[in-house]
Formats: sequence, C-alpha cells, structure tokens
Amino acid sequence: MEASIRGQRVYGSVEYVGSHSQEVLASLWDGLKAEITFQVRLYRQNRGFFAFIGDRLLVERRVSQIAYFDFFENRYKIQRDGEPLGEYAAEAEFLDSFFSLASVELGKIEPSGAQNHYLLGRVRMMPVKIIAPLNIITLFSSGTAFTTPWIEAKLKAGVEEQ
Amino acid sequence: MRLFQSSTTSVGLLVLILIFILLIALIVVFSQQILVNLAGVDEQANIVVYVVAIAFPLILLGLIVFQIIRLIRERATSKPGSRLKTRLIIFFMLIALLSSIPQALLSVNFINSAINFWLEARLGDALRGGLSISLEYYRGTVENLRSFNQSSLMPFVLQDLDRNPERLWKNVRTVNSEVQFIQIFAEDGSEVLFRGDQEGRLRNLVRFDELTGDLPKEDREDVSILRNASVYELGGRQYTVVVGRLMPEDFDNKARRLTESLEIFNQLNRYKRLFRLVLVFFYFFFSFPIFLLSILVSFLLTEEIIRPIVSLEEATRRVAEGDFSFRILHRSADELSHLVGSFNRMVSELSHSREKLRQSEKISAWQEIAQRLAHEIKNPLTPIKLSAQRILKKYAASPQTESEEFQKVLEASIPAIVREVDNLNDLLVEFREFARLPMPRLQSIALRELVEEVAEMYTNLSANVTIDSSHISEDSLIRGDPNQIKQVFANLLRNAIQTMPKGGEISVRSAVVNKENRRYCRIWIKDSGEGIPEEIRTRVFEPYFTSKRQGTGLGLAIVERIIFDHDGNIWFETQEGVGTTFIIDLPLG
Repeated sequence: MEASIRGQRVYGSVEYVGSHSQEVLASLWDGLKAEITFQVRLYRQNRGFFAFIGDRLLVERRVSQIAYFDFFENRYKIQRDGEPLGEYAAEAEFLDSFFSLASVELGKIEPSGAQNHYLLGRVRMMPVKIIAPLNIITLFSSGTAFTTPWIEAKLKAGVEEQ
Repeated sequence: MRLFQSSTTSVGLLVLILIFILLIALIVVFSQQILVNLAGVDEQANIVVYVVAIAFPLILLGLIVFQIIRLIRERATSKPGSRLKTRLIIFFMLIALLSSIPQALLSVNFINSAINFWLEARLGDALRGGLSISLEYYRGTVENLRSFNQSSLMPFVLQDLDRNPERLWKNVRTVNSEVQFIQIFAEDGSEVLFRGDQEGRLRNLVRFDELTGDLPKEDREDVSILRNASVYELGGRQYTVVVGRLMPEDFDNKARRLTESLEIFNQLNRYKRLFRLVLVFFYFFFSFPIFLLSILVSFLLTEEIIRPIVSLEEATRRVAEGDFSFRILHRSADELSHLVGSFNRMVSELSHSREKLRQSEKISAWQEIAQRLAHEIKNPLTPIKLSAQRILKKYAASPQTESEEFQKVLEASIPAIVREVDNLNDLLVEFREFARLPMPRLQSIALRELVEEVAEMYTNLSANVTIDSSHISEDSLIRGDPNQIKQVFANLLRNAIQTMPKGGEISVRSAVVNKENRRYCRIWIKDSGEGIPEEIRTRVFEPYFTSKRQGTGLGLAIVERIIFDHDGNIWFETQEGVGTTFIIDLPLG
C-alpha cells in the first residue's frame, strides 16, 4: 500500500501479495472469471477534544478488476469497472497488472496538512467471480472470497511517496 | 349495561395484512436485487440487510411469544373462552404447518430437479463442443492467414506489386479465397497497396514496428477482423504485407454467449452442492416469517371468532344472576350476529315479562290490601255516620235545656264527624275502584279527539292554564279502552294543573315510534310547573304516595296500571323549576 501526494492531489496504490495466483490462473483456464476489488480510503485525523469520535473519512474509492482468459486469442484480459483495461499474453505480466492498482486519485488536500492525513486500503479477492444468483453462496462459504485487513499508509508533507 | 365489541382485532388484522404485503415486497426485492449485491464489499449495506432479515422474524416471534404468554395467563385465571381459544389456535397452527410442509418438500424437490436438469452432463458436453468448434474455426482461420502470408508463393505474387497490382490481388484470391483483403506498407509505414474489402483497411498506424505475425483481433461494432503481417524484401526494399479476413457477422457475440454459458455451467457444476443448500436455506429463510405471520393471524382470528361466544357466555351468566340490562353488540352480519340478535331479543322479552309479572304481583297485592281495607273500614262507617246524624237530629229537636257549652261542642263536632266520614268513604270508594279496575276493552281511539274532550273539562278548572293539543296528528289512532284512557289523561292533566297554581301551559303532542319491532304512539304531556323533587321521583307511581294535602296518592298508580294493562309504558322527565313531561307509549290503533 502506497500513498503519494502530487501537488494537492492524493494518490493511492495498492498491490495484493497473496497466494492466489495459481488459483486465479486455474479458474481462468477453466473458462471462469476472477475478480479483485481494491478499496482505498482517505482519512483526516481528528486531534484534540474531538479525537474520541474517530478520524474523518474524506474519500473512498472502490475499483473492481475482472480477469478472464480469451481462448480465441490466447490472451489474459482485464476489465476495470466494466471497461477493457489490458490484454496480456504472458502470465507474469497479467498477474502483476491484475493484483495491483496504480495511482488511483483520491482528491485534493493542502500539502502542508498532509501529515494529518492517511490512507487505508484493503483488497477483496475472488479467485472465481461467482455470478448472480449463485453468488449468494459467498455468504455461507469462506472459501470463495478473501478480504485482507485494512492496511494504513501515511502521507507526509513534502514527501512524494511513502 | 352493554358489552361493546372492540375494534382492536380488526385493526390488528389490517396491520397484519399490511405486514404480509410488505413481506412479499421485501421477498421480491430481496431475491431480485439485494441477494445479487450481497456478495459485494459494501459491508454496511450488508449489515442493514442482515439486521432487517433477522429483526423481522424476531419481532414476529416476540409477538407470538407475547400472545402465548397471554393465553397461558388467561387459562390460569380461567378467563372465559381461553380453552376454546387454545384449541382454535392449535388447529390453525396445525393447518398452517400441514399446508406448508408439502409445499416445502415440493419446492426443495423442484429446486433439486431444476439444478440436476440444468447440470445435465450432455449440456456441458454440448457447450464445450460448441466452444471447441468455434475455437477450431477461429484458429483454422488464423492459421490459414499465417500459412498463406508466410508461404513460398508470396514472393512470386508480390512481384506484380509495381507492375500489375490488379493481377497481384487476383492471384492472391486465386491461391487463397479466404483472404478478403491485402494491405502493403513501405518501410516508412506508408501504404503502398490496398485491395479487397475496405472494412479491413488499417488506418492511422501508430506503432508500425509491432506490425508482425498474427495481429490481435480487431473488434468493431458489427464485425471483427483477423490479420497476419509478414515482411518481404523486393528489389532491395522492405515491405510489410498484411492479409486478413472479416469474421462472419455475429461470430464474436455468439462465441461470447457460448463462453458465458459455459462459465455459468462450470460455476453451477463447481458449487452445485453448496448452492443447493443455500437455496434450501433461503427457502426456509423466506418461508419462516410467513409461517410466523400466519400463526399471528391465527391468534387474531381466534380472538375475532371467540369474542361473540365469550360475550354470549358472559351475558348468559349475567342474565342468570338477574341482570336483564345486559346486551351484546355485534357489528358484522354473519350467523353469530343473528345469534347475538336473537339472544338480545330473548333477554329483552324476558326482562319485559319479568317486569310485567312484578307489576302484576304488586297490583294484586295492593288490590288485596285495598279490598280488605275497604271492607274493614266501610262496615263501621255507616253506623258511625248514622249515629252522629241521629245525635244531631235529637239535639235539634230537644228544648234548650242543655248548657250552651255542650251545644257548641256538639254543633262543631258532629258536622266534622260527618265530613270526615264522607272523606273516608270517598277514599274507600277510590280504593275499591282501583282494586276493581276492570280489564280494558280495546278498540281504536282517535287520540286527538279524546285528549281534546278531556282537556275541555279541565280548562274550566283554572283560567290561567291553557292546554295545547294541536301537535297531535288528526289521524293518530291508539288501541285502548276509551274510558280508561280518558282517566289516564284526566289524572295527568289534573296533576299538571295542580303543579301550576299561578297558571301556565300544558302541551300534548304525539309521534309514531318503533320499539323492539313494534310500532307505538308516543305521547308527551308537558307542563311548565314546579317539577318533581329528586327525592320523591322514584315513588311517583307508588300507590298511596302523594305530595299533596288532599290527594289520595292513587292517581298516578291508576295511570301506570291502565297503561300497563294496555301493553304500554309510561315514564317521566322532570326538572325542578322548569316542569315535568310524562311520556306514554301505547300500541297503535
């Protein structure tokens, strides 16, 4: 998880490092789809008297990527939020792209106040994207979807990346 | 006293019907939309759904537990109808259970059959076969373009590039008819030649250096294009030759649908056991609140059913205890309502008969007293009177030898004895009349004529009193004995006049009323007298009760008896200082 600030704009990057690569590839070769959802939140810290009410959520972005294997073209394809994102012939290249979310913009803040802000991110991984209404089984089976804990990345004034 | 039926049950039923409709709507929305989104990452939305999904049956369950506790307490206190209520609720619950069990079995069986039918092995084979054929066709086309573009024939074909491009295209089509266009680029990326279908033409090349081998399929709205590029050297110059083919229309869509169908099939196949369990769970998840709702409805319906029965039981008990004022109200128009109506009529008639009997007993008792009184008093009265008269006569005929004092006493006493004996005699005559009051000879009487006849006699008694009978309809007819009814009006008018020593107005009016399925003529006799004091109101109709110095106390008792003998009713409304209105109901003539 990385947080960066360029000018006044805050960006977050997330990379999922898990053990699901082979599971994803296997489901793609079976003609199924895999889905990964990145959830990134920008928070501002509440200090002083109001600290007890918790930090304030400023922005939340949720990006879903769906991968499938195109048997006609022998390529891995990724769609982000329904739009084509890329086509990959090589597995490694595809996996890198699928498991990462690069520089998603989260909004503007004053760079001088960057030390009061931080990002939280997590990933929900479905090696097999289960279609509706079959997806109701995800409510009862823990083996169909995995959600990582929230990971924090701090923003610092004058620092491009952490 | 009356038992009023509460509308709580109807409101409760209405609320339950609304909840039922809401539940159906929730099920539809839940199954169509929410379930689809449940697998998303929006946990807050999921929490709301979970809360609603769990809270709703819990609330219903809580209401049922409350009703059960109430029923147990009712049984413990032996509340009327509690046993019948328990039995009915158990019956309702059994009916709900018996009807839902076959439905559940049928539904689960149907789900199993449907899943098995969808996942039939032949369907999977067909889908995989279809995809395999599509792939074979696609790859065959790609391979064909590649092998043609890299074949040893191509350099010979390309020799016509400068000399005769048309022959070049003709030769290409002759060698491989599947090629639908050819496009040749010079080293700098500029197009040298294009022949064939314009749809396949590459325009605005950005990365010319990537133009080699099997090119990625180009997808357009209604067509997709396959291309292969090879580099050839002719006369010391390099050319990139692109040959291609337009895929049959809709090939992509059909291939995509085939792929998606296979994906669904594979998913169902992979998760079918879990999915089956989840479906069964959801079936019960949705059915359970409906089952609970039906039990709750059974509680309210039972309440509705037993209410009139309990009321009847309560009313019967009260009537048996002697309270004949008990009535039951029932709004609906069903058989129970008719039963309640019949019961009310029965109690009313019973009450009427009882009152009649009581009145008869009272009258008989007074008759007996009056007869005995008259007999006992009247016998000695005549000799007393005769003796007094004889003394007076003897004294008047004798010489004036007696003392003046004896004379004075005798002259004063004897007339007093005679007068008092006369009064006593009148009283006894009236008593006897009361006791011997004959049964009425009923006939149709014109009310207004009768009232006017009586009023005329009494108008002369007091010049200051006016009697207005103009509000009695000309055609008002009552059924009664004319002499006795005359006596009723005579007594009432005389009483009214006596209550207005300074004069006033007496008005008599009438109207037709319906009472317990009978039509009566209601007559109001209203005076503007002093009114009846509250402490004597209950004794007004008692025989021998009077508030006047000269009254016998039998006037109103006779009136009440006559009205009673005519199957009528009499009562009064009074206000001190304002006046009194006697109201009489008599059967119509």
